[in-house]
Amino acid sequence: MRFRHLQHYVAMIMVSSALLLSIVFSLIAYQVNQQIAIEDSERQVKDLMAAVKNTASAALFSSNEAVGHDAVNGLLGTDVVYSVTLEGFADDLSPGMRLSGIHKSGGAPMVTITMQLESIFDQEQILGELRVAPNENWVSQRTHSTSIPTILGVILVVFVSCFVSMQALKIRISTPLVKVSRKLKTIEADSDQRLALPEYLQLNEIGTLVDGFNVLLDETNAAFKVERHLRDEMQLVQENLESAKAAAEKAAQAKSDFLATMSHEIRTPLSGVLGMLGFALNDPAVQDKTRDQLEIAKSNAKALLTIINDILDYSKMEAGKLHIEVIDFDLRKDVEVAVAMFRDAAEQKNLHFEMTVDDDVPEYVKCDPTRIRQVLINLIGNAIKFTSEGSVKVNVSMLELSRYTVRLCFSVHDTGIGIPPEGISKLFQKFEQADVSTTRKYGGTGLGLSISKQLIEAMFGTINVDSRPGEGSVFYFELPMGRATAAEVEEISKSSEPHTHKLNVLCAEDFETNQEIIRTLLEGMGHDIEIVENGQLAVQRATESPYDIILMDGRMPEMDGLDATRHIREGEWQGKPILQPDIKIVALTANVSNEDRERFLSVGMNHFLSKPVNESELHKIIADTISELLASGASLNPIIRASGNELDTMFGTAELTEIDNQDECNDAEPQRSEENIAARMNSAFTNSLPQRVSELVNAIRTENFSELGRIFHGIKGSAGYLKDEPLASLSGRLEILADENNMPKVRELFDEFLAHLEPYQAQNEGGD
Amino acid sequence: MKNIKTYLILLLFSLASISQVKADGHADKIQVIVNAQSELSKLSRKHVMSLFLGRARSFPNGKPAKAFDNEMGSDIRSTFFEVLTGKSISDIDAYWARLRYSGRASPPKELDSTSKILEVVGSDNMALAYVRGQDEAELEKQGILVVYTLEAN
Repeated sequence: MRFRHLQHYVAMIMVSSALLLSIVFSLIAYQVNQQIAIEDSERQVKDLMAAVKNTASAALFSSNEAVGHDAVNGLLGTDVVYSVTLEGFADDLSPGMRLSGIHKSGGAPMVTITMQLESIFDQEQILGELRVAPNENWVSQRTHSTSIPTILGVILVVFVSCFVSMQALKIRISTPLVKVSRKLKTIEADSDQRLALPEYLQLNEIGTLVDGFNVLLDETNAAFKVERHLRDEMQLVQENLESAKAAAEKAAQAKSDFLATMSHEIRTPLSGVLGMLGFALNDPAVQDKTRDQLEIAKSNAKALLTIINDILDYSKMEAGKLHIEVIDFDLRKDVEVAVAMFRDAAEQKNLHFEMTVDDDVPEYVKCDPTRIRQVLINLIGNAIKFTSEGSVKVNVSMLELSRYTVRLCFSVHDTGIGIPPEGISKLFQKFEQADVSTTRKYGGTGLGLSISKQLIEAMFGTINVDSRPGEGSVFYFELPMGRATAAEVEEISKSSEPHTHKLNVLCAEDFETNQEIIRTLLEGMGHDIEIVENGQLAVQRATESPYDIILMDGRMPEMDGLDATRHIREGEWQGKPILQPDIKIVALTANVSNEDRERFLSVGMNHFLSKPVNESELHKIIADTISELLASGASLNPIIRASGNELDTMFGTAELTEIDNQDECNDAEPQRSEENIAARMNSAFTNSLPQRVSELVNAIRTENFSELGRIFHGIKGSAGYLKDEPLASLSGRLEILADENNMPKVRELFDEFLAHLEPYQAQNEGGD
Repeated sequence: MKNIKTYLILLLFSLASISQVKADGHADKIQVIVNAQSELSKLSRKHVMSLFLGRARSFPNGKPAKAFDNEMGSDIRSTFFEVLTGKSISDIDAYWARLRYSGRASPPKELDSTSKILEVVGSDNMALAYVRGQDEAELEKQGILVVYTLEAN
């Protein structure tokens, strides 16, 4: 049997013992009582016999049976007698007699008591004998009647003593144990609590047990202390590690940031150097010798620019900001673009320069064409740089072809100086070239190949080199690509097809330069455009005439783009209904953070275009709008194509073509319209500059920060279009400072800002 | 205590008897008598006792016997039984009382004078009785025979 409590167990044992004892004592008591009853019966029988002795004797003496019967019946009249026999011996005077009787109820006689009967008048004369047996019934009845109280008493005594013992055990042993076990449950590890026992239990086994547990508690506590100590130490170590890691990450980030900033900051003055050199070279008064020196200076500056661009790329990669696109493109065209950049250089060095694409290479593939081109340019550039005579060959071959993928190998083979075996291993590491003398002789940062390797690996390819010093090198990379069909590529290029229908466009833009750009782009696509200077005017116009689409600058005086959009969507302006409250509204913004986008979309704008406006994005949005309008059943005027000359005439761009565009631009097919735009933009910006500057000076004087912010914002956008990165970033910084109401900083930077404007103002003066 | 008392009484009676014997030379003899025609010579003490205490109902020769007693409480009766049995007269009376209690026993018939006794014994040849201090020769004349003599002292 299992008991949850010790007390119950003890109680069970006690009750069992009590029962057993009761039974044993009862049996003993019964036996004793029976014996007593037997003795009692015999004694009573003897007394009775003694009482009738004289009568019986007289009966025998006188041979009087009636008297004998009286004596016998007298004996049988008592319950203690079972059977009586009276026997008289015969002699000369008496015939003898035998009388006997049995009690009316009773059991078999156990013993028979015999008494000799002598004559009353002569003790010597034996007349006969009296035999009497006691009655068993009487004995058992007597036994029962005396045993029941005895047994009850025994049971009572036994149970009472058991109960008393149990109580004693409970109070003296099990209650202290229960207390100890309860305490045990509540004792927490790592506490100073100990189990305690009453004194009388301390010296026995329970005491030993409790002592043992207390010792265990002590040891556990000690272990806990050690563990806590270790844990604290571990935590400390971890914290140290984490802070070290954070510091290392921060240092790496700082390095990348530093590189990016440095490159950026170096590029700005470098552009100035290049620009000045360009101006100087344009000066017809420069002597030939000086011109040669200026040419050398210019080519060195360009080399420096390349290096800085490499560093920028590299720091972008370090910061994980490198983005790989996957688009469909015509592989041969892409490779041709890269190769074309070097035709002149190869020709100058009198090198045989050729490109071959194997026939089985698919025409269209899916990959990142810009990055492939970048790597090719790097490899071809190196090949030409390190080859003084012989040839440079570019080849594209196919390694594997499956239904959806293709694996291609691009190789650039030269007959240049080659690379020693020990140099090859260092080749693709950062800042490493084959050997130090290379740097001295040929220049370069050693970043180009490292960047190429990272780009290729980012596209899941591999890059390698085989080379022998003095004989030449083969750089080759393998790339997995998706396969594209001609149809897919065409569909994409279709997006740049001329628009079919003419749209009526409303544009809200406060900045003259930007107005000019949008106007030029949209008119170039063949659309009608009306430009207003702020949001309020835009809403006003929306109540007056119908438009197909509205382009809305985010930041404008009077009313900004967000408010204007809200009013248009509300459908009413100053009591007049908006003609098309659900018109498509596209945000124009230089702010491209996600929050800004959400803000624009939440007030009901449909799209946004980031500034500087990308022509193809604008083209696509307009094209989509045309399709949507046509699909919704609107009637639009088809565009009648004009010839290129007419466009020139229309835009009056002929006179502007002489303006020097980026001379380092290697694009194979510079867009004519882009030149137009750039020229018109430049002109518009230059023309508006004096007014902008006086507005700025005014705003600074009156501390009108919102006006300041708006003007800097506009200049930032214009500078972006003009690809004047330094001016754009400076304007951006000034815009932020103006927003922060930080006049001292604005004043500090304003001089620098004016210095940046100087070339344009000079142009302005020259133009006049 | 009771026994002692009994003995004391017994002692007193004994002294009285002795004094009587001294006064009369024949007075201290108790004689058991029968009719002369009973053809008896002498009886043993045991037989005398059995006949007077109801144990025997006939003479040794087989002829039926009929015992007669003296009056209850009389001096001769006490002396006779006490000397004959060695028991006190109260024991004898108790014995008869027990037997009489059953209702079927009958003690000898009591006669209140010696003359009556002599008359009954002289006329009935089954009769048996006892008398004190009679002359044997005198008795033979009346047809009475002494069969047992008890010395009273």
